[in-house]
Amino acid sequence: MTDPHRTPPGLPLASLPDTDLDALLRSAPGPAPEDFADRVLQRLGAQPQAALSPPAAPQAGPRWRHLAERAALVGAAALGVGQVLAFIFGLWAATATA
Amino acid sequence: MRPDTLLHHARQGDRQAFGQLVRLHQDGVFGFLWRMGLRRAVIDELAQEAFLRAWAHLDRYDPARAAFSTWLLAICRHLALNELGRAGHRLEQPADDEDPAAADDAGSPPEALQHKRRQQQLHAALARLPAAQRSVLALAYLRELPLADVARIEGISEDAVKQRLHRARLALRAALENPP
Repeated sequence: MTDPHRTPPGLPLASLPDTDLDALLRSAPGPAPEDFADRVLQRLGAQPQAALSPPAAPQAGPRWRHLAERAALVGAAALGVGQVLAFIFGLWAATATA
Repeated sequence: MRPDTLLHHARQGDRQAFGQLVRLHQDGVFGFLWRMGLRRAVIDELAQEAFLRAWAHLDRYDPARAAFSTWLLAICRHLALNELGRAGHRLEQPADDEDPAAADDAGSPPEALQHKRRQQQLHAALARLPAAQRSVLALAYLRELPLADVARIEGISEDAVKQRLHRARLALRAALENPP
């Protein structure tokens, strides 16, 4: 791999061979600031623990939603039972009049 | 202390151990964000945010699935793409990087100056690429990150990474040949 420092000084970047461009892309642009880790730790210390602790497992849904689902289930069941009873009553009424 | 030991301690809430992890990975994070065409001040802010998120979600990290650096880069990529997607962050963002080392230019050897100028040109060209192309370039040229890891972070197949990388290189060439 060619060292980008050693390419001809006057050669425009667009004219660099692929290998040199690759080398330039790989070369580190510069280290992180020396105090970076300290600043991260400061922010860790400054923020409330709740903000940095893992979030609680998501709940399946709000409470009202559970209640609505149960009410819908009970209502549908009652409607179904009513339909069956109406059918039986209809049969009984038909046979009774005959 | 070994990185996996540091990670073990950090997961138990040891901030100093996490600080050591930050020092181990900070240059890679900065390098990735620089290749994403972001400015120095934004890079610093996003890098901090990435490490804060990593700390907050350490319990979600699974060493069996990916290296810590890969997981961290995935967080960085997410933050960088969000940043680039925000209103006001144009693709043709000028690379007016406030390089702290710029003040030392006068005393630098010509080769170092040349290298720095080329890096600035490269940074400006990277900043003109679509975010997806920057991302794959930034990952692929970061410490020889394996293609499989690039694919995992990008969420695409290795073949798709190769294709995207090829297109990104062509686009980078075009951006270098046609400066704004």
